[in-house]
Amino acid sequence: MESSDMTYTPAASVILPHYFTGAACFIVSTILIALSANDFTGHYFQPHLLGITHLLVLGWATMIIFGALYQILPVILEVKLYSESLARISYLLLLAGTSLIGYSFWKFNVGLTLQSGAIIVLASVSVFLVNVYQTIRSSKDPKTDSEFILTSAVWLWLTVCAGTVLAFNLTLGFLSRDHLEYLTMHAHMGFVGWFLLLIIGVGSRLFPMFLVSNVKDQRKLTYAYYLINIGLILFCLEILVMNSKLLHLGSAALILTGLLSFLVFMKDVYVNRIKKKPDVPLKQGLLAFILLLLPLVSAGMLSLGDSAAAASTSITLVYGVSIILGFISTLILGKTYKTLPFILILQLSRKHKGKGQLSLKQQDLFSSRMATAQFIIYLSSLALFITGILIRQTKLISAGAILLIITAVIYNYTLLQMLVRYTRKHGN
Amino acid sequence: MGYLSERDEIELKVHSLLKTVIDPELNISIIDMGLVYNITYENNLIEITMTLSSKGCPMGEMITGNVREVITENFPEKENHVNLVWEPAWNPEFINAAGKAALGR
Repeated sequence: MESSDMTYTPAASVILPHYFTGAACFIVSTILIALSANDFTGHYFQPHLLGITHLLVLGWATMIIFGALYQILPVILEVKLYSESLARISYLLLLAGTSLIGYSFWKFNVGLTLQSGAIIVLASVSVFLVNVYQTIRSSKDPKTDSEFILTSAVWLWLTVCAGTVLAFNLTLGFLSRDHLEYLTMHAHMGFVGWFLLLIIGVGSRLFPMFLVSNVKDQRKLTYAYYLINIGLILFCLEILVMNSKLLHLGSAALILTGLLSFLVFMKDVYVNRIKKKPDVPLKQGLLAFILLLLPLVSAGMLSLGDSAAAASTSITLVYGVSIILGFISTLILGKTYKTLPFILILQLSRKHKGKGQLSLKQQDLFSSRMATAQFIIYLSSLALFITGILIRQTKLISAGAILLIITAVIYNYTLLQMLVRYTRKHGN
Repeated sequence: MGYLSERDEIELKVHSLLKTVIDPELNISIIDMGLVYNITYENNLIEITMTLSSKGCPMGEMITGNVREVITENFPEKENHVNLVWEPAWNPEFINAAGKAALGR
């Protein structure tokens, strides 16, 4: 028998700044997108798009993921987080580094400011990796999901190492091949190695919990783990040393097969769920996986078409946008309404000790109507924005960007609403 | 009255009290979920043996905390202990008829 002492999670002051900084970064990014609507009709390698991309992937997505992981990892592994101080340090470094990178790309000041920002983000990610590794090491019973999480953290570290080298290459030009080829590798290490592996690791744990689904067979996840990792390693080797179209397609096929294996696992989870009517945040999380079709279709078109053609430029943009805004952001927008209320309710239940039962549900902390409105507006913004990029229509892109701003405002408002309701309950 | 021993009465009362502890995700009681395996009362100690729907459940701390709170509140003069066990592992078959009806199954 075990004791029921389950107080593994760190203090709210470690977790919450990540969520609120990420939300603020999201709103800033959407405003910058609206200001740069015209840039989305051209090539992706330009100052404003590079600045926005780094703000979104580091300041918005990675920031919130760091916060969520510092909460979820100890709960999954049933151990305490290795160091709350390191978590606070990684937060501050990520904030400082991302601000410098975002600013320097936006202004295309790619010298010392960008290089400093890259080194600071590298320091943040190194601290994060140490914290994750030591936390997993202290667990007596590491599970499949912790392998995904640790591997994704290693890929994040490698992605940022590659990004730092590229930041120096922009001014020093020491790399032998075209900078954009290395940029492709840097981006995919981040998208596939960091985001996708992490989403599989955490999603394979959280979705069955939220849907109350009892899928025991973990083999599909194991296949996904090996196929995606081997595919990504081959993809990097192809760019770094081999330069073979066949290897390029082979690595993409391995990654795609791994992804499909995970999606079949998710289908099993959904089919075997007890919770027949998923709530809005859960629906949004599930929709993110359907939206994965967009980058898959655009990647297929790019690999078959002529890379120099003008159309492929907009498809490349659609590919990136549909990963960052379509898949990753949709998932985060939905998951926030599942994870943040739980984080707050757990903190409240600790403060409530000795005062009777705490009867509080996640829906008590935010308005479901606002969450639904945000979901609909966000989907509309994506449809307009991506169509605008495809047909190179600035007005459509602008309309999509304005709806994105509204989404970000509702999201920030809802987060504040949760905090206000939490603070009120906290005072009672 | 008088047919039940003090022990039986307390165990029944605890069972009834645990129906007020709700799983925040499914919004049904932990009794209907089938999370409570055993309730015993002996030597002034109320002992609840229970599980969670999965290991590493994000709300596990709150659920077990609420179990302790509801027992302490109603039996302040008695000791209580929650034993969290993982065998047998919970599965949906443990949900009782009331729980299944609440879930629309």
